[in-house]
Amino acid sequence: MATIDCPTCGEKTIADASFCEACGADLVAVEPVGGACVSCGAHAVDGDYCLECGHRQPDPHDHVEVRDGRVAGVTDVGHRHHRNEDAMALADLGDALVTVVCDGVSTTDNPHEASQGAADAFLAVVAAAVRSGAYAASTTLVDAVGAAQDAVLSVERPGSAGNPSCTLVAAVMWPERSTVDVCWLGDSRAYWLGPDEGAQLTNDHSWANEAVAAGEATLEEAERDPRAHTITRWLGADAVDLAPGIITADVGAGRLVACTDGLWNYEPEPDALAARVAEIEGDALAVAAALTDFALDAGGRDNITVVVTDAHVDTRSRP
Amino acid sequence: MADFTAEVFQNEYLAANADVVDAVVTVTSAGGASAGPRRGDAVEVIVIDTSGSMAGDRGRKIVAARNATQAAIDTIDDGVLFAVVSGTQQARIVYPEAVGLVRADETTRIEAKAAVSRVQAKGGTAIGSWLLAVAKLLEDAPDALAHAILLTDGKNESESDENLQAAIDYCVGRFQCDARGLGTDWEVDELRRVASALLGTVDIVPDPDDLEAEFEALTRTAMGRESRVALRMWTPKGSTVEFVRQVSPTLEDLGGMAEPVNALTSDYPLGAWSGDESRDYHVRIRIPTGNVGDERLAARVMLDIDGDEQPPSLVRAVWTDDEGLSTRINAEVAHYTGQAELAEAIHEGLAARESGDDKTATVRLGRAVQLAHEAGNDDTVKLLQGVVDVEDPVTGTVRLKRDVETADEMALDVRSTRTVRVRKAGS
Repeated sequence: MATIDCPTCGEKTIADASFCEACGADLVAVEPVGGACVSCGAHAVDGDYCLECGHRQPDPHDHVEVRDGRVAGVTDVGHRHHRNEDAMALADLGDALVTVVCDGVSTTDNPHEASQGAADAFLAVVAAAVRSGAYAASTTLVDAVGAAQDAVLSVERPGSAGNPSCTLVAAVMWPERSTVDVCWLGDSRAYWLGPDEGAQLTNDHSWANEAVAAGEATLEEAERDPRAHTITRWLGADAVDLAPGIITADVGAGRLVACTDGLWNYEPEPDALAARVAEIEGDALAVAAALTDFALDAGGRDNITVVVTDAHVDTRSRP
Repeated sequence: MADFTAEVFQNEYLAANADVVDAVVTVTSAGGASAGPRRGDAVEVIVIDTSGSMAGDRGRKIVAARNATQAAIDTIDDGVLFAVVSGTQQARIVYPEAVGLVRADETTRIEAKAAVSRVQAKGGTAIGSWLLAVAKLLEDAPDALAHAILLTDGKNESESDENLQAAIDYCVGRFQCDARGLGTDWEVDELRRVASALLGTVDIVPDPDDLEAEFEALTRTAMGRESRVALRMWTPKGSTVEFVRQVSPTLEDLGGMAEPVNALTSDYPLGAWSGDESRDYHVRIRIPTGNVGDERLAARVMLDIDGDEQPPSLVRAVWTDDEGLSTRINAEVAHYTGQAELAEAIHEGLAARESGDDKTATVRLGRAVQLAHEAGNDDTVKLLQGVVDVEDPVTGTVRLKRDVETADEMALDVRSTRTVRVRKAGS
């Protein structure tokens, strides 16, 4: 059995014991190297790894759940990727419920920083405008895209991969007016999911959609092309088109779901997604968690982010 | 000072329940030698066999040994501490005449060469006593980077094998030694044991006329080396280091040289390095298995350069249920696994041939031809052709030669551990 010299009394004692057998000193507390390892419990975590058993410590961003009033989101690294490059930002501002979801482009440098920076910057602009009363969808959302782009441009580019880049989808829900303003770049989506049917509020900026819109191909032809799902708009230094899609929709009873392709790849159809959500009991966070679990069970090949706005359940008014 | 890097090549993906991690670590120094004088002392000791057999071949061997030693002396840099030892059943210090080591300069080099010119061949062979004489000389300069050249033309017959082994064990870590066998009357295994333990090379010099160039080259290489390097390896609790072996430029098992640093970390001395070379190491570690999705460090590999520890390179294990990932074969690991098998096939083939088991010898040497051919190990194919006629290198079909030159057989044996590097795609 491996022994160490007790740092207190100098006697030989068992290396992995909690207390020195000679003097009783607490060996664990004497000189903690780092936090406790999630696998073996040793206080030997240094950076990403435990220097006792070697176990890689989970990144705190691998799975995050957030709730603010009526808005809640879950982001998860999934089963295949080693880093969660998705990001979300959300706020229940009273009059308005704001959701931002970004998907970092994994072939670029530091996409996880790009996505978080973009989401935070976008939310900050919208929140300031809502609070000051200056909010107007046509100008505020474009300003917010500009702030998000600036945030992405400020991300360091240490490697030889592409410029840091990410998608963005944002929604500003106005419960009193029963309208939602939606803004997007790329293939992250927003859905409105009612009790009986659903609607996709965004239209992916993908090669297939652009080809169809330009009359160059039928939807069927475009979908067969290997470039079909290549995104055509994004945030980043080499973005070719920074004009976001912006729409305002009137909505009835239901929930708003903003997500990355880590979810919708497993259930793209709005009605099917609405049916799935209708079966979930609980608040916005419960819905976001259940949809995330659905994507994980279906394979979890990509990072998954789901933010749900449930305007009709005001959690803050509960006792 | 030269920059050292350690680069890891591996397939980090393991199938569920798999617990063996293989990696090839390429250690490279770049940036060349430092300008100006060395930071610490360097020592060069030349040890030549002056037993009676060296007088054979009408005196050509002893003359060649004198000339080669003088050439080596001329190659020693100013300021390097040096000595010359002649070996029979005991060791005698040829130069310096006073006790200890002397710094090389114009005068001492002339004195040393004169002393060497008077060396006569007479007596037996006790290599262990020669090694101990070198160790004794080094007591003057315990921290110096020390190198020896050892030449013999015969078997170690004036002392017991236990004495030789004890001397080798005593000298480990004290100096590095390149061993050379002159002619064909020496034992490959004896010199290999000396060179392997003392982090040096071993080779045959069949013709005395080639000895001078050999000594000059060995000395020049030694003069270029100025950094003492160790490979420091951390492995997780519960793991077993299956092997640590140098795989390029030659195969050398380093497992027996591990010096524990703490419960999870050991040092493997890599000897002295120049500022411009590259060597490969293959490590295999058995670690406690993880769950699918887990990632664990299998090893942290750090270089210790003259006592300075460099940042770690990581050998990782990631358990996956994706067979496409876990069944990938890393090119470097596969290549050096093949090179190790090649050396083993040659070793076994020659042993079988020696014992008269022609059937096994044909199979094993045929396999060696096949492996060497596949890997592009052309020098080894040529050496194999000294003992077998190759009918088809692709299938490894060979016939044993009837008349084999002893020097060819010994050259194959002694050079069987030389490897080639992975052929990169497109080259």
